[in-house]
Amino acid sequence: MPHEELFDHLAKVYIEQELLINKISDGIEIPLSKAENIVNELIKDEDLLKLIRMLDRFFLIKHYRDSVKLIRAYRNRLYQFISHTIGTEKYVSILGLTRKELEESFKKDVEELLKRKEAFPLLEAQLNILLRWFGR
Amino acid sequence: MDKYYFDTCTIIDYIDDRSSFNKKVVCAITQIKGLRVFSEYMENELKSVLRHAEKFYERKDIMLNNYIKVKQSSNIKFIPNNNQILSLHRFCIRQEVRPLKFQDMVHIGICGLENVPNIVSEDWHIHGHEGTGRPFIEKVRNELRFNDPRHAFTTRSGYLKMEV
Repeated sequence: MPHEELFDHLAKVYIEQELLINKISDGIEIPLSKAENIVNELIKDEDLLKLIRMLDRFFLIKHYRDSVKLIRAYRNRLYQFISHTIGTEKYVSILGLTRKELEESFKKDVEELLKRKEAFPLLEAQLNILLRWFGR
Repeated sequence: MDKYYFDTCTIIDYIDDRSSFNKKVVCAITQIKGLRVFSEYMENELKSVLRHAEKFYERKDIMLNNYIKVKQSSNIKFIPNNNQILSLHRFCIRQEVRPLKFQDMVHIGICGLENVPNIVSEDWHIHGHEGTGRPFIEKVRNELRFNDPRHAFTTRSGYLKMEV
């Protein structure tokens, strides 16, 4: 995988883990925090988890208390993120996956990303620029 | 039986007992006499906001549990993310509406596709306008050929007020 595609691949893994957490959590037996742990277990690798946590900072919604503003802020970030990385078509195809399909695709994409661990410091630097750019 | 689709922000105020709007929103929603309609699209947005908003950082699990109780206790129709809804999402994002409101278009579009005449939203601007003053929902309505839902919104004053 060429390096220029690597950031988009990380973005895809991030979107997949987001949707997988949402699909796994049922609010009763599996609350959101437990679903997060389950997905973290699937990732296992600490370096990749660090990159994922950095991307979480991009999505962190601070200060807003009003539900309307919270929703708008989240939608805005998701749109920015998708339009600058994987694109709408890819996002829609991930959105339509079943839990099983999503889990398989996620595992495969994590595996591929881990084959390029030597590029993680560069991805981290790119993420730092992104976070600084957006003031997060 | 009339059908009422719930937008994400309404659900948040409905399940958040610390929200200053909670009591009034609950009161307004109890006035709904009809089938409540939730969607996977809304549920996914709700879970993501619960996870990413600092406000809900320590309460996300309780909030989701509250939502699930509402979902289980009410007479609910649940709409999954089927191909029609994914196509709708794709169509709405291509419209490049300004300000960024394509997700509102998707929610209204779900009503149209599922023949749900009412949408309950906290956001008074869910029907937003283009610079020309033309409601952006017209784009979706004309393209997909369905009836625009009558817009029911909780005014946060404790009663359900119809608009449009």
